[in-house]
Amino acid sequence: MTKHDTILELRNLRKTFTARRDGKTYEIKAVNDVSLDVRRGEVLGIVGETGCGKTTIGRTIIRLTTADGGEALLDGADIFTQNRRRMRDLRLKVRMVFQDPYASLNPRRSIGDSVAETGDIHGVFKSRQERAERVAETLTQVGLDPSFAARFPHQLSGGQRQRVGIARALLPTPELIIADEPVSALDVSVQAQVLNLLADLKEEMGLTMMFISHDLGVVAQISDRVAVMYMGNLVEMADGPGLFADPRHPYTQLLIASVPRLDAAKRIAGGIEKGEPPSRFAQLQGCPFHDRCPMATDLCRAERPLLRELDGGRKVACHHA
Amino acid sequence: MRLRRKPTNPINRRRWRNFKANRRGWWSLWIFLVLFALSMGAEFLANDNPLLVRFEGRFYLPVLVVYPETVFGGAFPTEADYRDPYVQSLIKADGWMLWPPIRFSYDTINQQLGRPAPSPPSAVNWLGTDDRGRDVAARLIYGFRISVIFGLVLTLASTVIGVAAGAIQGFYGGRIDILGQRFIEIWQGLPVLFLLIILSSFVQPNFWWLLGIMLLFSWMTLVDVVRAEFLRGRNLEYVRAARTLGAGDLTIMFRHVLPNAMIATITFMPFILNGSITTLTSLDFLGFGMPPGSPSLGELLAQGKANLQAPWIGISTFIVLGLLLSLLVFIGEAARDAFDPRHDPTQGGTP
Amino acid sequence: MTRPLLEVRDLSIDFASGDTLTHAVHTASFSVEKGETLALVGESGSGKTVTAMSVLQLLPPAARYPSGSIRLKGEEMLGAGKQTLRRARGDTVGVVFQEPMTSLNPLHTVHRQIAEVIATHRPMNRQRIRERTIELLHLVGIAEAEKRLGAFPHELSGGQRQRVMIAIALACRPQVLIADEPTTALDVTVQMQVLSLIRELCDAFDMGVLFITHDLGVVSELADRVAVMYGGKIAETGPVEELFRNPLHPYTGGLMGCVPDPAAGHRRFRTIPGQAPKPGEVPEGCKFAPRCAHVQPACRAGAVPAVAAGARHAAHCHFPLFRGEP
Repeated sequence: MTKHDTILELRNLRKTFTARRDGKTYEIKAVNDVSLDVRRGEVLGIVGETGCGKTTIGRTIIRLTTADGGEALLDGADIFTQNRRRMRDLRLKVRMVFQDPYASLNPRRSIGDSVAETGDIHGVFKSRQERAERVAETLTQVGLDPSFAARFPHQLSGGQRQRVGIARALLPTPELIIADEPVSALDVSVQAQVLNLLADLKEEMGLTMMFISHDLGVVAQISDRVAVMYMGNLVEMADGPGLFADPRHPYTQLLIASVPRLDAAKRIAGGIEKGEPPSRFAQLQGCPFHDRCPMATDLCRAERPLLRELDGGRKVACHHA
Repeated sequence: MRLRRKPTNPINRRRWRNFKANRRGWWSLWIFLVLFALSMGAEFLANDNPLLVRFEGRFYLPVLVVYPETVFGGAFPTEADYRDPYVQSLIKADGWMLWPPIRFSYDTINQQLGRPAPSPPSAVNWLGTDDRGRDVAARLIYGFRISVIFGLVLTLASTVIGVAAGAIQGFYGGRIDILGQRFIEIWQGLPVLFLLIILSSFVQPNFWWLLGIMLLFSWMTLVDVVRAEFLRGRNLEYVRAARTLGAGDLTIMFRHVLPNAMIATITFMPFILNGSITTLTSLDFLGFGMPPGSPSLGELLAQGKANLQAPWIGISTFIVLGLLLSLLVFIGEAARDAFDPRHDPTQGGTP
Repeated sequence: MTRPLLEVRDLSIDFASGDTLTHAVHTASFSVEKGETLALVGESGSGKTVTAMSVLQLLPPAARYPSGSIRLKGEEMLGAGKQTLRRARGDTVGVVFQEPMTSLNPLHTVHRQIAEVIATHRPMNRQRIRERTIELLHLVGIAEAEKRLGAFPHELSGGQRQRVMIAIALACRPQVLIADEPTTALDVTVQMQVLSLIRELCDAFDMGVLFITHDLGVVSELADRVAVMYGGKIAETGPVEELFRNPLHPYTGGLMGCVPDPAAGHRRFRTIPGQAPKPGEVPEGCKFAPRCAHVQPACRAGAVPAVAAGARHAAHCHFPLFRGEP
């Protein structure tokens, strides 16, 4: 078995939110004991529906929120410590691309200023000349003309703004990019352009990416490996084609069957599964999926399944997969 | 491509254009600036010392330098009184004097009044004299200057303190915010006017005392607006993005949130200035403001009220004060309209 | 041949703002028959929502209709009187909006919102209205309908809210349903349930459905016919299977190339270069010409003719694709 070069390793990550509703306090396990690894040079897709915890994972890694438990190792070093040098390291090595292209750029700053901001904060540029050159270079890399550096966000379209967001994450070159629903707010044709761009960048720069999205089709086309999340739990992890050809976890199967496809043979009929995802406030015992699962048994209701490794490197959290 | 200077945000350019388009505000700004500039040179407009004296082949600048009488051949080593006919004759014997338009300062008493003070406008005193025989026009010019300077300093200082207080409360929230808000509530409840009156019974307040006391209370005007802006701003997506880049709190506050807060602040400022000037005038009117003898619009108003038979005092002061405050209001309105978010693409939703 | 339930012909919609006129929709024509689902597909700025909302005259006062006609069961809607519109809204036509959180009144209970529609068009006593409301909630698949009557929108999940919206839309058994991206804001598993519910109910009541979406996958699985909009114009219309097998308009072909397919594995998308025109930009000739891979000089000049290929399948293009090639 080949030893992969792991850039980021999450071990037993936990994050709980407390919510008050109708006078009672609830604990919501946004991320419930998640362990996964990201290998250098790969795109790891994290897919799931609303409330599954995928965005929270991204935020925890980049330390926008603090994890309640577990570890995250970047190149072997624990990034949850308070060590200032490690924090600075983290900020330079791990960068985020945000979902909303209209909200993630400061409307008052020029594009050039926004793109160069990381470099400015960490004193990376040695001269104004160098700064301008590197900004121009990065803008060209994401497919924008360097003259855009003098423009302002409201003069750009959604797709162009998202490219700027990507450019901002590239300067200076990071080791890991966490893309949190980077194309969800874009039109389909623009989405395709940006996805192609990300694929190109991955090839040219050898970027490692964590691609978080609720859109299974998008994740499939860009990821090397895919992790499926449900209600804060990691339920399945496999390489892309394998996952779609042969999903093992019942939730993955449901997810794949639910994606509307441009396929003449597939038509919606009536009478589809009537179960709804349970409320996040409900405290479920055992497997989080058991109330919607066609294969659920007493074991599923009692005991939460752990992530097991199956043949071919696939991991599933199910008693019966 | 080399960036030569920071590109100007087209939004700011558009705001400037909007401001200019408001003719009333635009002209008001210019008129105000001209009047302010003139009043700054009050010494050159209304002075009992001439601007320039040529005597015995040499130049003297009495407007700037104090010369003893003996320089011009007089008997006493005290400061020359250029209005004294004796000194005038000494100088005219071998030279000439260049006077400012108004040959009185704010405290010069016109000894050669033909009628009892307050005297009506004449060729010598263009707006007449007040009840002490001092030239009204001169007092108006100097009073204008003091009012505006007081207002500007108070506004600037209040803005700095208010914005800082609002920013810290809004940005950090939590306990800091709660404590700050409670403190402001209590502090705001104190009656400023009475405190000032009480103070003036202990000390003779001067410019700086008044400024200090008023500053203690005027900084609170801006806090609400700035605090709200920071409370909102710290949750914006691009602020979060900046955090992921490693920006520290101060950087984020100054670079990302403050510029937004400044919009509301700038639109408030002309009105704060207006309020400061009015307050000073009111205090002077009541006699609790600047020390007696200082040129002051409020004091002239009080005189005008006390001397209704001399309408030139009251009317001219009223016109000056009304003009000043109106100009500021027009400027403020124009600024507010220029910043109106309805015309601002950054404040709108997604297209 | 029966008259279509909804017939839109040469519809143009402008928006007046100050002294500028923005052309949002330009000579759009389509029709919806009884029992048929027509999908109106386009990206943002294509004018699809504006078109759909114009049927019931639900656009803001700044909207202007320089030309065209909208006939609902033969009755002209443009310039129609208040009575006609009131009858149409809620009674003949039901509407499901995209964001159930904002289109449901957060201060009214579920019961009240449904009852309001019923009471407006079919006055009946309180007991009957309550029975009917419960009936409707059952119909849309909300469990424990009786308990849910007193619930407020924020107490329901996204899927449940959308079901309530559908219940409101169907309360008076309308003949036409207009659904404006009803599932875009929902999770994909919930989306599948809601779409199947719509399919079930529309089949049961033989309704004509105008379904607006940007998702070609949804179109493929749900619709019978589809009209593709680009830049305020209808680029292509046709039966779903036929259109996706043989797209005539280069934009349709390009759009299909952009749709992600989970089964396809790693591939690059065949993208359409450039970006969509903002509403209001009206270039000469074909609007798609700046981005079209098969553009010719003729495309940039003058009006674009409709080219037909097969029954009810037409595209506005000088040089339509034919079996994938021009």
